[in-house]
Amino acid sequence: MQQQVLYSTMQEVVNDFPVGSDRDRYASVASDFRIPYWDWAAAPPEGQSVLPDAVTAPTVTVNGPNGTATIDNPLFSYKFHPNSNDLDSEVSGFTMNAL
Amino acid sequence: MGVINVAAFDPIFYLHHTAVDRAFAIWQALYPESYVEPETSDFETFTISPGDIEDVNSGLTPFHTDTTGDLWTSVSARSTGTFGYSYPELPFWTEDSDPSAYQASLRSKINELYGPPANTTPPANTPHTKRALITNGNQYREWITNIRAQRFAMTGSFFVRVFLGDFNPDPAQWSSDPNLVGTHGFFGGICKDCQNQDSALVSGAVPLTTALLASIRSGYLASLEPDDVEPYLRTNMHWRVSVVSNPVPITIWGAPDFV
Repeated sequence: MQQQVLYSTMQEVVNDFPVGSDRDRYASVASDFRIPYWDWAAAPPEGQSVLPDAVTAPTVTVNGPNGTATIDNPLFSYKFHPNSNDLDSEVSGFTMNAL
Repeated sequence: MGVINVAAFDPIFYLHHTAVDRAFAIWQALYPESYVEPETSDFETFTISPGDIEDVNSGLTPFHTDTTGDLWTSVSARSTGTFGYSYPELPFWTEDSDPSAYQASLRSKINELYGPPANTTPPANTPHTKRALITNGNQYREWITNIRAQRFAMTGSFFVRVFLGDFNPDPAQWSSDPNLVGTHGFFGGICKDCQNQDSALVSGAVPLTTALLASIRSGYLASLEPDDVEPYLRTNMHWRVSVVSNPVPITIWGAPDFV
């Protein structure tokens, strides 16, 4: 279900690209997309952490519809947007960082 | 992810659970005759009452297959193929043409990825006398740290870390300390009443044998026999607790008891 939501968001982003070869390429990749798995049981390559780089870098440079941009890495942390009625007061102050 | 209440907001949650899905798919391929067995529910959930029997046909609320109320069940959701995907080690569409080759290839890939590293068994050219210290005929002694704790002893999830030798006193460095033998995680939610609930004792283990073999190879320990290992552990084994939810881990330390 989460993949379905992610997929429809991806479709929106693809459609933001101007018509052309980039958009076609992204549309084709998006149609085969599946969430990757983090293999925490496999020994990492020499010198590398078992945590993938994709979740430890605070920012990431991406190709967007308006060119290249450096954004907060959404795989690094998530900032809560609490409606203070919804979440327990114990957890509403959290920013989730990959451990 | 250690704070259960909000674990699914940690971005790595999805990467982790995809890995769990893959582990389960691999297990299914190795044990095709095993699956869900009926079990009586002890606890209540939003859709299950205590005493309900949960089995392979139970509806997996809230996941519906259509808009008319039908639910996915363990039967209908059994195969990744139903959802249009698989994993690199599991080209299940090739299995029927040669089942034993499929199984052999899968096992070989698993051993390659997850088999023991080369240095956990004495190398073939270990001098005969040293090898005799480790094996006694075809037997050797396994050493394990058994850990038991109250599940809600801390606020939320916590780790018990076992060290052999000196270690960095900074808790932030513990997970990568070269003398960390292993960590056992206690998974617990944060709830207002947790510490008043009936105490639930949870247990786990950290195996010591591989670390002890390394000590033997380095000359710090003579053998795996109790007369050598017990004094060695009394001097060199330490444990610490770190709590997941606090920005700075709380530490508690003590001397291990031997049972």
